[in-house]
Amino acid sequence: MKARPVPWQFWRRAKEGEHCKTKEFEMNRFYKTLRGKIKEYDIKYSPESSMLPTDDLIKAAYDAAMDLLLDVGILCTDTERIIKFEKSEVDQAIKLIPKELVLGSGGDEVRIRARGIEDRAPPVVEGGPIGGPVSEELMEMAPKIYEAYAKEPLVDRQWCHGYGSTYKGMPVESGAPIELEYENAIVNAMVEGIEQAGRPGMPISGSSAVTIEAYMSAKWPKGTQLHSYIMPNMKTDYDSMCRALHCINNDYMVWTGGQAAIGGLAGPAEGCAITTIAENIAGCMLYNGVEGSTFVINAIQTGTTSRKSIWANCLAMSALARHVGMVCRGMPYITHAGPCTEMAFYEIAAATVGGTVSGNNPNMGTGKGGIGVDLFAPLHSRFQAQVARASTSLKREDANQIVEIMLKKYEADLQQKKVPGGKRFQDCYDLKTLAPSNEFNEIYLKIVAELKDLGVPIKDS
Amino acid sequence: MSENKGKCLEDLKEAILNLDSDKSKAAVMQAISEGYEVKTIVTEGLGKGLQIMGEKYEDGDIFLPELTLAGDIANELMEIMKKNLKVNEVGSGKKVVMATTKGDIHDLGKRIVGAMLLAAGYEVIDVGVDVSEMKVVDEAQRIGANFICLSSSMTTTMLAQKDVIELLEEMGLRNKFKIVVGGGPVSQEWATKIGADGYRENAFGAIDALKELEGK
Repeated sequence: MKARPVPWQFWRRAKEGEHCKTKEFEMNRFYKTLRGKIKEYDIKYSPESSMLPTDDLIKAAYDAAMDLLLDVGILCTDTERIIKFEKSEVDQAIKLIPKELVLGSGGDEVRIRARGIEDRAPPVVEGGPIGGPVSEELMEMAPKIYEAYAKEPLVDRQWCHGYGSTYKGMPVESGAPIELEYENAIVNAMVEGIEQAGRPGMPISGSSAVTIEAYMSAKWPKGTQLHSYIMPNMKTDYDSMCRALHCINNDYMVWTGGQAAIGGLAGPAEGCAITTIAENIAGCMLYNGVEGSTFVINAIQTGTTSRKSIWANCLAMSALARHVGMVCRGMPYITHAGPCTEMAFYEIAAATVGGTVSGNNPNMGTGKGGIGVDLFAPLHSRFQAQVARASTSLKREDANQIVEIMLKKYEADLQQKKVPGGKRFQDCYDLKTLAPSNEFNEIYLKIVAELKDLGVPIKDS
Repeated sequence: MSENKGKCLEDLKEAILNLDSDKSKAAVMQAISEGYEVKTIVTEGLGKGLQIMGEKYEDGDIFLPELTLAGDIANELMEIMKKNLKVNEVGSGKKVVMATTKGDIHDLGKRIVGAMLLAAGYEVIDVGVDVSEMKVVDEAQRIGANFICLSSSMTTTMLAQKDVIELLEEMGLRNKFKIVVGGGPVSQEWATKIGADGYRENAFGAIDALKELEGK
């Protein structure tokens, strides 16, 4: 993919824009404006709300997000100056967002499209031990982890993520040489893993680096995507711009997005949806992002499958699909329950059905809100891919019914904090054959059968 | 007069719930003029309002910005009471230094904890994100903190929690402060391993952790 230009015209504004203290920006500019837009555009969530949004609500959320972006801008925290955009600049940026990307290389290349709402085209599915810690015990066999994901034929790409705490007997300390060494080791392990699975050009993306030094140090293969997010909420910094510049100069594609959390500075689910839309557009402008993401999480429970999270993610995703037309990933990303539990499958099904019908390319990471160690499973990604493909035949009304049924399976437990932690990868997988345990497989087959009974046309893997 | 006695405390609670800084200040001044002790103003007015705000946050009825504003107003009111009354009459005086550890810029969880501790009557000094161990220790010493709360969201940055504790030990200051750790990858096992005094899985547990340690 041809490199896109460096957005110096916007970065310059980080030195020349209006000065504003961070707290003033957060409380009096961002949050006050956001509250006003929620009211002005009459965007309301309630537990009775349809999980898949109507066309009118999608348009209202998009308009509110556009107003938010233009009225508030993005604060650069290094300079405490606001980067403002003109409407014509935003419109032009949206026009330039690519509608299709080619990821990976050779025979394993994957074409990923900007999907629409109720799009019948199959989504691109991403797996990997995303978002949660990985133990040193597993790090010693890291290529096997990535091989296990690559052996799942329905998993199209992998996210090279997963934080380790020790490596080579040393703590992986951010900013220390060992962090750079660890980042390189992860990338090498991923390359080795996908080669072992016979998919050497399988698309990968991610980076688990905390510091920009480690982010820049690893040698990534052709067709890689690296991330640079808008910082929560509606903020950026020099570090993020440098990451984007590194990608642009080295032909890595940037994927971007926001990090709004329900209960956090973006407030309620409505605020998080609007902010996520605005931040994705901002990420395209500030970092030349070619792919967006929706990861509205709960600030306290740190999962993405609560009723509010799914509602907000579906709304944001639908608005990006309908009015921006960008390639997007997300949902569920992080479940509350861990592997080898019925609840985790129900969570994945609810978020995947909702997300896919909203225009998403789904991805699946770790369980227990990203807190537990080694709580990931390639079987979750297989299940997600099957559900996502089956969801392409669903209309919003049908999808809404399925999401409701799935939510009712687990939301009472979620509210009462009775969430099963599940089993670690090494406890629910045979590490030699890289196959799931019988117990895990039986749970998976049970939930697949339940979904089939509900009319979700899942094909056997 | 007797009919209105106590109304100022109810007004204070309502003003906190409405995030009305001016009315809450007026209510505190009225309470002082009526001769209420600080303990009563805090527990019957300010504290009640803040407690309800905390419950509303937990129920998802208000969000971090409102909680932060309530905490800011509480800080202003404490300053007013300090100016108008003897310093030792104001609150319990327990001071908390909190920071996100070196290399880590995540601050959502820390801010929620900070706002909730403030609402619970602690004096909170938030040193910020990406804070070196020496800066944490310096700040804790400077203000005479009782607690140090350390937040980390990555396995690579939670190591710095251990660095803070080791630095305190090297400087012979370990017994001066109670250390509470938290954050995404942090666990009770980790807290025990590095010798922290307390740990909770989420922000709501932080107050319990500090209260528990106060008795030790």
